Amino acid sequence: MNLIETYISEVTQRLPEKIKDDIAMELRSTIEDMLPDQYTDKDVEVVLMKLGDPVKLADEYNNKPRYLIGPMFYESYINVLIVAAIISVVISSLTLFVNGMITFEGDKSLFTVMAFIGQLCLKMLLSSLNVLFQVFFWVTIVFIMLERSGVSNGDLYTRKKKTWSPSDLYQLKKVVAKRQIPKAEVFFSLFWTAIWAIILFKSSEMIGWYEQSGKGLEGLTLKAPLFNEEVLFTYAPFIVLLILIEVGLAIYKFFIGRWTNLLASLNLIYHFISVGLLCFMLTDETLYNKSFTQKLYDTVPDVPAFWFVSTIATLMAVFSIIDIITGFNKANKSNAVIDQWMKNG
Amino acid sequence: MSELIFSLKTELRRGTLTLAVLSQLQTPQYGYSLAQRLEENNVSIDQSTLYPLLRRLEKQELLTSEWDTTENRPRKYYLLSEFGQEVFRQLKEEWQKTSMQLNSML
Repeated sequence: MNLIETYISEVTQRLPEKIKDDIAMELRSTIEDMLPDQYTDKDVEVVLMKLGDPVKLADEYNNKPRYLIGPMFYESYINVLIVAAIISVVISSLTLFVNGMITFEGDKSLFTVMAFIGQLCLKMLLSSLNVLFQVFFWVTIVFIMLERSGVSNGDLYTRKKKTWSPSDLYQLKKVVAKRQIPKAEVFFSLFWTAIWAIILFKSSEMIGWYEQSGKGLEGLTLKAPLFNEEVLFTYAPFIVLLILIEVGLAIYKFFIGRWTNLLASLNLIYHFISVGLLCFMLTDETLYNKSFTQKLYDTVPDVPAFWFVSTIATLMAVFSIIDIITGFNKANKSNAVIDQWMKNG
Repeated sequence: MSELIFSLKTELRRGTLTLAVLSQLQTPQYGYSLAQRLEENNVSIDQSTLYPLLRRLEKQELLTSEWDTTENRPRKYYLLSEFGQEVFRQLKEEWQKTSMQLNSML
């Protein structure tokens, strides 16, 4: 009797609370069914032997997958892993590189420059390793959760991938054969984002009123930064958002490889946000450092500040509009090319 | 070699177990009586596989279950649901088709 109860609890302690009691009751009645009327411990052992290892039995009842990432997600898991690894390594190295170049101080002798570059390379390598581990960890966690959440039952897969037909090959081949957006363009835009972000956040040490107090370039010192750092940092959330959008857009471009109406629309939204933010910041008088404006007016008494600011804003807006229109044009052209291609078979 | 044969045999038999179990549940059966019926028909199935299988089929709504506590020992009876009947019919057809096709080839 005792043996039976021990066996049952060995099974049920591995089961979810909800079904525990029911299975215990059923197991008990089944075991008793299997035993003769007057049974000995030996009989019990024989019966339990038939039911086998309680751990295995509990596994059968649980019917949970005994793998972390199943075949349904394996392919996308590997793809996402590779892509995320490449992007994060590129971005982290770029940030470190640009940051290092900006903060580089000291004499420009060949030795210090070489030493500095060596150090920077080592830093980039270490941070890449760190980033790789992070990416591996998080991507794996997310996929394990996806696997456990039960979306794997075909839903996600079938929704994402419509039934395959040979005509898909045409589109694929077209994109591969004629990448509209060169990869270099994407990397350049990531590089550009990194540069402007760093310059903006480091602006209190870089942009402003310089005065010559010694000889040559080294004598040039920053007397008054252009921006009021505290006010600038209240804009930080918006600026960070803009950076995220820019990076996201670049990554999206990298994968889609050609202009589509969706990409053009996203591009439009991005330009609206960036121009809007720029105008807002340029017209915010508290953003400018008082001592900078003072020095400016001291030197050039009637500087056309308003004219200057509005020219910058207009230029930005014009460039943005051109870029938006180009985006939609390219999207249309690319659609037309693919249509044509499909017709010709 | 023999291990490979064993695993291939298990794989071949796996799908047929469900069909065998469904076929015996036209009338209500409890776990042990079902195991005995299968044994009488020379269907070899581990009891440790059978009982969890019943639970799974119930969860998939092919079976309904009911506890009978009127006897001296409470027993859980399983029976084909309406949906289960339909699934059984289709599986049976599929099996007959497959075995005919295979027989003509073998």
